[in-house]
Amino acid sequence: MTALEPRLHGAETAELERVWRDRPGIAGWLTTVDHKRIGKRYFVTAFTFLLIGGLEAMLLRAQLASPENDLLGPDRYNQLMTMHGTTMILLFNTPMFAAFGNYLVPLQIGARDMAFPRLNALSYWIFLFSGLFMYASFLTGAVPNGGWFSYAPLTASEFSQGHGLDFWAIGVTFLGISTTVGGVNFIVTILRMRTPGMSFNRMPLFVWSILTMAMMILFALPSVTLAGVLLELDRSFGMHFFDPGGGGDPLLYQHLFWIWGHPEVYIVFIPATGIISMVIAAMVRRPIVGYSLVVAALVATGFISFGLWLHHMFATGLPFLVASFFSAASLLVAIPSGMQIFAWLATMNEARPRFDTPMLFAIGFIVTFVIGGITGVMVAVVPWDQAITDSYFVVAHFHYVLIGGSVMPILAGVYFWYPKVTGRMMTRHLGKVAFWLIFVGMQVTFFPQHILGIVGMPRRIYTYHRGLGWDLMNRISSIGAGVLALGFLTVTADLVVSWRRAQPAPNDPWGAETLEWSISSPPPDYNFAGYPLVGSRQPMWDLEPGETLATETEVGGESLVHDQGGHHHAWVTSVLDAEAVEIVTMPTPAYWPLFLAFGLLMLSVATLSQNVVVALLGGLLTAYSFYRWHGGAS
Amino acid sequence: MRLRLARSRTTLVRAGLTIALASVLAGCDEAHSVFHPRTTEARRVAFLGWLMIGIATAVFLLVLALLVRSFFGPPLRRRSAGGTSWIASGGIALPTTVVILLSGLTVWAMNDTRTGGGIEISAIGHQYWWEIRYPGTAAVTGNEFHIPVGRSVHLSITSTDVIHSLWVPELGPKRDMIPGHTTELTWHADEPGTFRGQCAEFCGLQHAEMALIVVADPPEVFDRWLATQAADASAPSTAVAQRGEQVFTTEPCAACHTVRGSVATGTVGPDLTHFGSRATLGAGVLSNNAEHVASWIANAQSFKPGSLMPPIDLSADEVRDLTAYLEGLR
Repeated sequence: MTALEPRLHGAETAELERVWRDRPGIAGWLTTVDHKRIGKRYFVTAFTFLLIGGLEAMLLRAQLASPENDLLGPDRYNQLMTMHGTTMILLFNTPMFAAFGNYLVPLQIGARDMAFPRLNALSYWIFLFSGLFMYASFLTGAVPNGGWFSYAPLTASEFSQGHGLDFWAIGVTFLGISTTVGGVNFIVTILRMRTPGMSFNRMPLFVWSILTMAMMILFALPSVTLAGVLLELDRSFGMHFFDPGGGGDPLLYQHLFWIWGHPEVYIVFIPATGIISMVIAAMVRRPIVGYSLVVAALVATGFISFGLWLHHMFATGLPFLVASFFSAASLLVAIPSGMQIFAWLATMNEARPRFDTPMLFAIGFIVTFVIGGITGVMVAVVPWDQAITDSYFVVAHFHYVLIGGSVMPILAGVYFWYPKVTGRMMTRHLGKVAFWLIFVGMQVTFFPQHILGIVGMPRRIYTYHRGLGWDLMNRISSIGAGVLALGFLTVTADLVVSWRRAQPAPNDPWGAETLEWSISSPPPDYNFAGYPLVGSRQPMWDLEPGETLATETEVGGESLVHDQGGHHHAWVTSVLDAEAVEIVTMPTPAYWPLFLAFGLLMLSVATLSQNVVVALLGGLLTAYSFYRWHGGAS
Repeated sequence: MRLRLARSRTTLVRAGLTIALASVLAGCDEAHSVFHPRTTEARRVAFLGWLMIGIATAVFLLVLALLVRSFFGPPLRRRSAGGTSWIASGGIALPTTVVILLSGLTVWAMNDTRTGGGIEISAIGHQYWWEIRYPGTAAVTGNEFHIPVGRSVHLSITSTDVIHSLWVPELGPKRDMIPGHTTELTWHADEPGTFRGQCAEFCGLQHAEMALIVVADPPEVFDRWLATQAADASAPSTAVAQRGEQVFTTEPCAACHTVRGSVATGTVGPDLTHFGSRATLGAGVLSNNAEHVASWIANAQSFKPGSLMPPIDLSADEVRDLTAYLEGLR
């Protein structure tokens, strides 16, 4: 133990600040590899897509508010319905956890950056470009209209002419690169970049949840990429993978889609539970009960989620044995989910929680998600599923799961970490108003849809006849959607107002347990001047009042603060026990991630337009960016 | 201030209860509800549904109680064991019990219900209508068909274009109609009635307007109905209808539609041999009467944009004759 410094000040960190600061202006903006800037960017982009997806949902609910309504025609309705689902799952929900993971994982494990900073920048640019690519379809008028699942053969060129579905298939494939490299980055970061002392059994639960999510991404994503590629080959190159007339099979598409699609639900649920564990622990000021059991539950959920995909296909007429197996496996997920719910309930019952906005959203999450989980158990029962699948009951179920189980935790996380990210507390009351609007709006919108499904209303219909008994529930649901929208607008207003106006935030406004609260709000560019020393799961709670967390600024006589020679230095440790610390030199800002992403965008445009020149240029730019990847900043 | 808050909370609770109550009432009242079962198969579904709603309510209330306890109750002391008994009982034992119970019931409810001596029906999905055949007979119909009460009804299900799904909530589980595959479904209707269904798998522009009617008849009524449907269309008896047949077979109609017993043998659209006996046209878009038939022929696209039925350019007289012919096909 040498050079134990409680905290570094001013002149001592001047060199670190200089080395880690991005270049000023637009050049710095385009070349940055800082995980915090990239995380914030991910957040703003994903949140924008949330608002766009929400606007689409409002139009859908307006159309369905009354029977035989002709606000939207069938074509416009199908386009908005497709883009609403695609946007919410692929462009909002999944990337939103990349935002949280990017910003928080390095801070929570006591690292200076992600393991592959340039890969991180690349994954953001691809996300942005693929989102813009899919939305460019609105400019051409050929908007994807095959549903977010785009089942073949409806999406084959025979039944879907025009380029709408090409935007979808190419966009999804393109976006998959972003998600995959993001997953790789999280895994390596979490396995190797943890500060000394943070062994596996001391990792914050949020970090565990991101690790599980990243592992799932790695195994699930190839399947949907394959579905997208084969669909595009069928569409653009006349192949017959899904065409029964040419020896193909439409069910193959469904298998490929759901082998990814079901784990995807857990890819956006597991990190949400990580957020909830952090929020509840801080708001109750107690460690989560049964840490090891919660970790086991996270990992078990991840595993089991790969054995469930066929429950999306119970109505396709599966053999008895197969259906019973997948039914039992689907029911099994209730166990790890129940373990987490009861771990939180037990923790909350150990001390009176404080009802700040993050806690309100955490409570809203428990109530809403439990309903969604229970209806999930119901649809795992084959005969009930065969009766109710593809009806509004299922729409209600997965909105309870996704809004309750994923969006509410995201909002809890937003209100929880906002002070850390911006250095500002949020306004005192707007958040509570937003919570009640969203909580009540959510129940009023989606609870009646359970009943609509039970009384026979199928999903994805643009209109319905008067007198079928669906009028009242649809009207209530649409009114609820208005309240829900108001809630999200309030959150948006709160984010903006607080950013400009609110009180400066201290390092640790909540008295929380993990390392990100040991540094300033917002954190310095280099995160930690030296590596923090971790001796338990709750490093911040081990400190005496007034004490600050100790950091180590030297490794084997080499300084992490002085004489950096213009390099980004970071520390790596062993996988399991986070020992044997070593200094590594990290990549610096560069244009190549941006150029590589742009080259891939050109290739996507070329595939869509079948333009050889654009393909050639895009290919060259991609190859050149790869070649220069390791080079300097410009 | 506090008082007002409390009052608004009571109002909120009351509003919530009202909505919940209204929902339940609307659910019970509804004709084509999963909870209005009219076959053996549908009864199993409804039984499972009610049972699971009961379990669900109990589990939800338990969680809610523990949540409320954390707000107001005395803090639990963490025991040396690690305070994991809640996870063991609520998180492991409780769901495990439910899972075992429901798995058993699932296997029971999935048991094949098919019995001998039943009737075979073949259902074929099209964008956006239903073709129904009775193998072994000449009967072919569209968008409306009959089944016998008290006999096993066995459906073989497929599609000629995209994936559709056959769903009549009161008759039980749905089944996807997949091109290149044949799936199966069995119904045992236990009382007569008319049941409405609708396509449940997104199948394109007019997925919303693909309804179907199933009529359960007493066996002898059903046998009569099937015999009628199997027969060719009787020759039109009035002069108007005879002119109508002329229009039908010379104009584009016959290219897409069949009327058995006439020269019209098209197979793109529904078989119209006994069109006049059906309650709706366009797979439930309009009720079947002369006025609707006339406007449907003139421009089906204004009622069902995206359907394969093109606008037909006929004179007013031709439309009147054609309508009379079609309405006479009983």
